[in-house]
Amino acid sequence: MTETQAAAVALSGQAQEFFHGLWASLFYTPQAPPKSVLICSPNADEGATTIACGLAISGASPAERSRAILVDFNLRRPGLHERLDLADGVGASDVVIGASSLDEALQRVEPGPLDVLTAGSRCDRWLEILRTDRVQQLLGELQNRYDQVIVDVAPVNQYPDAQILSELVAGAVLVAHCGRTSREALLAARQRLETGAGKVLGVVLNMRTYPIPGFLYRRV
Amino acid sequence: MALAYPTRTLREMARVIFSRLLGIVLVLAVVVGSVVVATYLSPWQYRSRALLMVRPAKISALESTETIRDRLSLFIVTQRQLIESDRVVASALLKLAGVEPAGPEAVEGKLSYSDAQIAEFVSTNAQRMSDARRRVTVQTPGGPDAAFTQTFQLLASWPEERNLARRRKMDSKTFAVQRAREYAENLLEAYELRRSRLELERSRRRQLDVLNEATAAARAALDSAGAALEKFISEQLKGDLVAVESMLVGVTETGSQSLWTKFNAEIRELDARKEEIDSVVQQVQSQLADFKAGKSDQVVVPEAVLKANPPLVRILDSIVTLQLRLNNLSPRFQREYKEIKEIEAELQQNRAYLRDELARQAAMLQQERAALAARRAKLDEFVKSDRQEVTRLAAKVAKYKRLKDDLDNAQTIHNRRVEEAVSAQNVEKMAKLPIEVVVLDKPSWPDVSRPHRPILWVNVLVAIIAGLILALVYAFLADHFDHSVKGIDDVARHIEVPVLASIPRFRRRIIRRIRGAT
Repeated sequence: MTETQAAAVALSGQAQEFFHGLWASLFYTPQAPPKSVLICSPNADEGATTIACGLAISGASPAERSRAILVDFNLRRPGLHERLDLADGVGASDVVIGASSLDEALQRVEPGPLDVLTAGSRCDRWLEILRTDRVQQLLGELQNRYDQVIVDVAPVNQYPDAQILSELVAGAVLVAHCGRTSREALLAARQRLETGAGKVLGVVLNMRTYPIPGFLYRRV
Repeated sequence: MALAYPTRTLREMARVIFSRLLGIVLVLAVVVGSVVVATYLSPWQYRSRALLMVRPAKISALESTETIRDRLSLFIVTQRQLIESDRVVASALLKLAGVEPAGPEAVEGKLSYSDAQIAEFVSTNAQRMSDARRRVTVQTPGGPDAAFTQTFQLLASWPEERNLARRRKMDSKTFAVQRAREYAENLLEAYELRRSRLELERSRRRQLDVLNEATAAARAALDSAGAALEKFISEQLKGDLVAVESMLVGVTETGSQSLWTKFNAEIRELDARKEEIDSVVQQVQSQLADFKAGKSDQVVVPEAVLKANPPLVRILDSIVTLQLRLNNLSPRFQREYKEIKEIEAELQQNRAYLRDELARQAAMLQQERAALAARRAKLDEFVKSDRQEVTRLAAKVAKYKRLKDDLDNAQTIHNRRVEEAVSAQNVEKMAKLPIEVVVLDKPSWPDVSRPHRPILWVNVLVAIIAGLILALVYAFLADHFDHSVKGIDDVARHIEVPVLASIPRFRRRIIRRIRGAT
């Protein structure tokens, strides 16, 4: 763990409330809460990465005894490190192919403690690597070490990554961009995840707008 | 998806409207704005008005008030059509353009435009004609549905023509006012000319066609039927006319039939009589033969012969009396007694008479029988010839009857036509009371300060309503075809996965970097 690269990020005050709510509905369940969660969207640019970041930051408050880790498995277009202002040197892909150890690749974000595993160096044969047991081993280790593992992944309808990974995690959360994601795309994503033996925990509506004025909204 | 509509909530309706508020406002603004612009750009019009009154020239005592009213209302409707007709509008425009009329004939000293002039103008100025016609209004007080009206207004408007006015170096408003009045005057004049011409033509034509056409046709039919019958009689029937006529009168078939049955009855009677006579004659003759042979003294006279012969009865009586006397005398006296002798002689005498008489009767009966036979033969022949005649004339009779029926029909039709013509003439006479059109107010000078223009607020109101409807249609259609996820309802309805959270759109970045925190 390289302490030199520790970055400090925070959620805006309004956003924090909403992400706390999301955290609560995901992990504060009376049944056994899911240990690992896949955050994905049907198409690109629908906010899966941002939601994953927000969720992880809101969950990693210092008061929490539990620890969370954010993993960027979106090897196609990794964006996590930019949002969290981290270096994308060594990351998850390096750990999977064995180029680096997990401890070397981990980064820390303040105020946390929130551990982050960025995407790492690119690899052309990512799909083949995903199919190997090493990914499962890595995820298993992360689940042992941390209370919540939050995985950001490439768009479901565009790449098969999420379909493969959904088998290895407890559940998947679909992120839909309000007014952009069509219901057909969302339905297709759900079906893809379910054919990959994954479980869709729920949908997060991102960028939701409330066009009805407040005074009317309360009446209708 | 259509299946979604029954479960739509009021909130969703509100969302449809408010999420596309900008588009709705835009549609509304475009509609209202274009209507406002169009209203402002439409030229102001100046309207000249003339008031006309219709009234029956004479009111007949026979007519009820209702029929007068109906006639006047109908009249006004036709006047409206007349004023808005091609001819009247085109005449007014032609006169306005200063074209000289070249009509074929003048009515009341005024020359009207010829059909060719009108047709040419109408075909070359279709747009102008329709514009001009739109600016002509015939109004009845109380609106078009008023039960009864005697007056109507002719309204003619003319728009401002800025270019034309500038060319004539006139103020466009005063120019338009002038033109409007002129247009109204020309319309009125053309209308009156047209109406008087139509009246003239109508009155000229009516009597002729009613009287002539129908009656003449009926007359011709009657004549031809008569001629056909006459021809048939002269060519086909010739001498058989009386026979055919009598057969028709005797009701043809049944008539001759009854005649024949009568003849047959007579023949049967004759036969019976003949037989009777035969038997009597036979009896008489056998008696006579017995008598001559001296077989018996007694003669039995047959009942049938006795009935019709008083002398024979007398002879028989005297024979019986003599016999009685002889019977009284003979037991008492000798045969040689003189009286007996006398009586016997007389008896003998009478018997001889009787014999003679019987012989005579027999001869007479023979004669009668011969006459009967002759009569019978004659009757037979008559029936036979009558049958032949009937069969010979049957076809002719049928044709004759048909022709005669035709003639009768033609006669009835003709009579009816004549009656109709007479009654039509009467009706015509009653309806002749013409309706006068009186100009109460001549075309007025339009008020320059009060041009006739579209009412802005009415148009805007209509535009707002239409625009709102259009905008709502746009909003709901757009929403219907927009399949993007918009809220929890959409996800619940189509994806059937719970919504964990809704992250609203934030103006600022969600994740802020805090540099130098460590």
